[in-house]
Amino acid sequence: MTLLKVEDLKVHFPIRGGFFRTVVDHVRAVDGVSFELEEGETYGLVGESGSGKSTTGKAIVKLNKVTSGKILFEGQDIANYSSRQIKPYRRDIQMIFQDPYSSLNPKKRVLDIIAEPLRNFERHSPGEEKKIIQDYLDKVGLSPDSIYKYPHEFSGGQRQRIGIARSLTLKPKLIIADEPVSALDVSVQAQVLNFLQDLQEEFKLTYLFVGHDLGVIRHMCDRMGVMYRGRLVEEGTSKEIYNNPQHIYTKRLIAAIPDLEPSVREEKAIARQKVSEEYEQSYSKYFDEKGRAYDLKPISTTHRVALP
Amino acid sequence: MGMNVETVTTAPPKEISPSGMKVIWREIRKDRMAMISLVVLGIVLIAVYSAALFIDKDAVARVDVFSIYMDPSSAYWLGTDYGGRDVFKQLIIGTRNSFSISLGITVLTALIGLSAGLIAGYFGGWTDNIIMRVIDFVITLPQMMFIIVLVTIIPKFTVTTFILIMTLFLWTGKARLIRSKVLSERELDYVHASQTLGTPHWKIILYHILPNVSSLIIVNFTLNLAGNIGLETALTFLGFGLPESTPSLGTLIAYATNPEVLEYRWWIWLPASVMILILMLSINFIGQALKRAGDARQRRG
Ligand SMILES: Nc1ncnc2c1ncn2[C@@H]1O[C@H](COP(=O)(O)OP(=O)(O)OP(=O)(O)O)[C@@H](O)[C@H]1O
Ligand SMILES: [Mg+2]
Repeated sequence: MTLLKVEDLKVHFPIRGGFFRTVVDHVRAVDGVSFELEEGETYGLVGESGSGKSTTGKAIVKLNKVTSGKILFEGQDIANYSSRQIKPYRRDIQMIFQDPYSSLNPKKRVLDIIAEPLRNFERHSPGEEKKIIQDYLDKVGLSPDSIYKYPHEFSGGQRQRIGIARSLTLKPKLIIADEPVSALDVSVQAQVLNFLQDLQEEFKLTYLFVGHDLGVIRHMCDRMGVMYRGRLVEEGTSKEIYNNPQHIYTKRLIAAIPDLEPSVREEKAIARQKVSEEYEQSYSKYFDEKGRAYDLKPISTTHRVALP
Repeated sequence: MGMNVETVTTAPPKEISPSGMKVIWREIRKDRMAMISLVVLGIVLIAVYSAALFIDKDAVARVDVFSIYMDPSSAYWLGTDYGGRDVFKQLIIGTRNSFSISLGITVLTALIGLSAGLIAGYFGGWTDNIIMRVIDFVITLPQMMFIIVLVTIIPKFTVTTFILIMTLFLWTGKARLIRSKVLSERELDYVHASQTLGTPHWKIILYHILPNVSSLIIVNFTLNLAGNIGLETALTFLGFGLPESTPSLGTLIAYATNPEVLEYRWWIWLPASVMILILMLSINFIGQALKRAGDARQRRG
């Protein structure tokens, strides 16, 4: 069943300038993106910095105003809902933020941080509430005694777990994870990622997983979309994208993944060189005269590529 | 006793972290000048406010032609002025008035500035635009001229009217200061998180953003408190503040415009001047300590 369907989503930010601070142009952060999430799957959005991945995720949780397009959650178009209309959907769609340092209020105790969504939607006595919070803390692998501590008393990885616990308390259906591990140490990354996968099974979660690290995305996601300058240039299962990239940008992204094995390093460097040359030469073939990617065209039942 | 423990552990969680207050207290204790200032200020204020309760305000303001310009004596500790009024009692009432005015202005400007700044900064867009245009308008008004005109046309000029007039002009600076801090604060992910968690805007503003700008507010509040004492005194000294019927530190110092008083009757104006110095310095020292408490890199404690 389709849980989330994004149709031709556009998010444009006005650029103001001149004497009267009038709108002189727009940043087309997201410029016509469409994709679907099946219930229980993990969908990845990859792309370089500034390609509009976060903006797409934030538009779905209504942190960014949608310029045009549809966001269908369980068939309901929530793109233009007012903050009152969206309130019931807040329970179902949650977000894990990129930066575990700024996403927790430094003046709040862990108890108050994790209980915030609960207090907005449910009524519990302080005792019950404490018990629920401690359960979730236990689930994310933190000591139940930490409820009276402040965020600065935790490491980055632990903070991210607090953020994850907070997003779980309302038992959401969809979690948008905006580079949940990019601020973490490599040794902690795998731990948090595996843990997110365990939670997915336990809570039947659907993830929209945003990241710029193709390795992480491949590890996590069933399907993924590659974003470039606010547009999807290729979409398919992780295997398709990884083994059979069609768009020149995807190819370059994959060629850029560093390889740790010394034996293939040489080989890789040559391949990278080749892709780089191809990119220069055939750039105009893949983008229209304004440098905008074409609309996606299916090349198999699951694989779509932006070709003219 | 058992009941007591029970209520403590299940008390509703405090919204503002106690650690902030602890940091401030530790910083003041570490700073000897701030600690002395706190004690001095406390003693002066308690003494002045309680003594003022026992002084008949009308009697102090009443002219007594039989005791003009008396030297200090056991009856008049600091002598009398040209109207035969007791200077010491004027000093007590005056200090109370001056401090109350400063406190009143500071509290009111803080409330207005805080509300305007929080709302403008948090909501942005056209809300911000309207509030900022109002602020720009107030700032472009010729303040001094307005104050002088208002002082002249308002027949019964009192402490309250003075506070209100000054507040009218002084809230803008605070509003701008708070707004700029809130503008950067609302871009932080903890605010975004609260929004996606379904927390209403007013709760985000009051319980999430406000505690995070509180150190800025406290520092600004103390420094303004000192500044406003000086402002009141200066305006009154120039003749655009309180009338003599409402004694203040400014009216007492204004007696020094008479060269005869300035030279031969220092006991009329000097104590008031020293009082201003004590108040402003001690509040400033406390303010400096608070400022350091608000900035982790400068802390001593
Ligand atoms: N509030 C905003 N106002 C104006 N421009 C914005 C705003 N938010 C994002 N942008 C612009 O939109 C573009 C996409 O930003 P976005 O944060 O979605 O990138 P991203 O793909 O998440 O990058 P990263 O990997 O660095 O997080 C950028 O060019 C950015 O400057
Ligand atoms: Mg991002």
